[in-house]
Amino acid sequence: MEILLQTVLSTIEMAVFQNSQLVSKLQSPSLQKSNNTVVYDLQKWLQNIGLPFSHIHRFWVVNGPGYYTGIRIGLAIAKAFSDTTTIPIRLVTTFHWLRLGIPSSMERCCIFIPSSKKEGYLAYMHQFSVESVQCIEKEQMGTKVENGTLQEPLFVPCDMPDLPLSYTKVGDISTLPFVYKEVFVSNDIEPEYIKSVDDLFHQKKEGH
Amino acid sequence: MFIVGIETSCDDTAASIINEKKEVMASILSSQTSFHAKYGGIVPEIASRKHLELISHVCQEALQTSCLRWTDIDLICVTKGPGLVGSLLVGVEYAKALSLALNTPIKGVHHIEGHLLSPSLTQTITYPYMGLIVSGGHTEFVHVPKAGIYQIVGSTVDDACGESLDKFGKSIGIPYPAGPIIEQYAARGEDTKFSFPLPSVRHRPYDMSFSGLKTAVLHVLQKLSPNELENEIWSLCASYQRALFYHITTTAQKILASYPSTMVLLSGGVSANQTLFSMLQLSIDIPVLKPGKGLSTDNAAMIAWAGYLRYMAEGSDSLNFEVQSSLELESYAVE
Repeated sequence: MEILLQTVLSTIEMAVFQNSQLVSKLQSPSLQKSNNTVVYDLQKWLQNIGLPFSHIHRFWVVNGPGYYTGIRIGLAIAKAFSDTTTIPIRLVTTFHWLRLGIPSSMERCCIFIPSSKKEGYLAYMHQFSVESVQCIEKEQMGTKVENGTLQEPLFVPCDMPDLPLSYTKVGDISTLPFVYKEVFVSNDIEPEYIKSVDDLFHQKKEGH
Repeated sequence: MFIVGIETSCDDTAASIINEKKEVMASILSSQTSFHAKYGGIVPEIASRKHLELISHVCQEALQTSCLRWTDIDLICVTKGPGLVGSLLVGVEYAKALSLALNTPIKGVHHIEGHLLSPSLTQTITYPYMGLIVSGGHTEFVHVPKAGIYQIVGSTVDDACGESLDKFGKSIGIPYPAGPIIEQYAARGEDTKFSFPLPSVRHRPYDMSFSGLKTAVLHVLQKLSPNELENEIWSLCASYQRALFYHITTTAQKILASYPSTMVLLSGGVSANQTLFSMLQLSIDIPVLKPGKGLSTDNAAMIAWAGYLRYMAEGSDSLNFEVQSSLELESYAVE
């Protein structure tokens, strides 16, 4: 059995797979309300579906980008599992996670992932390769679309509040990612914040 | 019984392993001070990121130091508040996941309860006692008539004492964290050279206020040339430190007059300041105890100990307990 945990978007998702087939899935409505209870929800959900923790042989976790607090919650859990068990951990970026929900026939696309109330990250993807990522304010996204500077179809997470621009919501993914990084020691479990602390601090200082 | 403690409430990542006989088998602390010094104070986002980076390291080191494996641990104790929410969440989610994976009981611990009980890890205490927590985030008097009964009788209404020292340090060019440097400078100066007003909180004799002293310092600094500041920095530090600690000791006298106690248990990061300890000893006629080495500042041994005592009284927590930036200190015994 394999468990996948996604805590970096507004909606927390956990799913269990057997032989790469989705067996069960749980979505918590709001990160803000349930970020204290992710492990509790995981425990109850495993009990409800009758899956003992010892039967988990692989743990997948989305390591960002996305909401900073959410990234840390998922990875703190992954680190504890890695420290106390021999379960291998597979790290998946949010871009690769969401790309799974976009038809593979679409070669090029843009994915926007919120990281705070005001801003997020816009990635240009060619198939499963991330070609570039930029930090952008949500309001600026509309301007980009209006000006035609966004040349590829835009996708956003399905739980994201509406934006004043045209896009397709993507989510409710039921397959396991095939682009990932497998790690066996917790020290290698690293977040994808994109923005460094210096970037954040300078932005704050400049009054943005 | 082996108890692991995890503390991530502010800017230090700490893990400790103790047993029920109060033996501290390991107490590992990874300070983030140098990372925050660059920004002149604690930056919550940096603190949270560093906690995630360090949490496994410090816990693994605590296990190795105590020659134990995770499966030997009988109880997991973790700070659940008060503190920086982003920082607390890293420790709590890590601890909860340990508890789930190991099927080991967990206990969420109040940070102040950890400080309050830290002197009792190395010394014998008697009831009733007065706990005095003086740190960068807290300045509180807590009356403890018997084990598990906590009554907050006085606290700062604005800045904490350690925070006030840091702000004063910043105003005269002393880097964060300023407290230990101010103590060193003060030892070379005259503590009566500059006069700072003794603050008071109207109609609340057991509460303290430290923010007014900042304005008083600004007035003094405006009158000093750079050369004069350089010459007087020792005495400025000595006078400011004395004003702060005098405010605490006179408040202690008032509180102890109304709340008879057998001893004062001084804890928190500023309890390491020898001047505060001496002034307190001289101003009251009951013993003043402070934590053993390495137990004054934030540490995980105190969390393990406080969590163990509460676990023995209440049992373990469910995995759905929450982290809280401000959290009331609740008693667990009946008076």
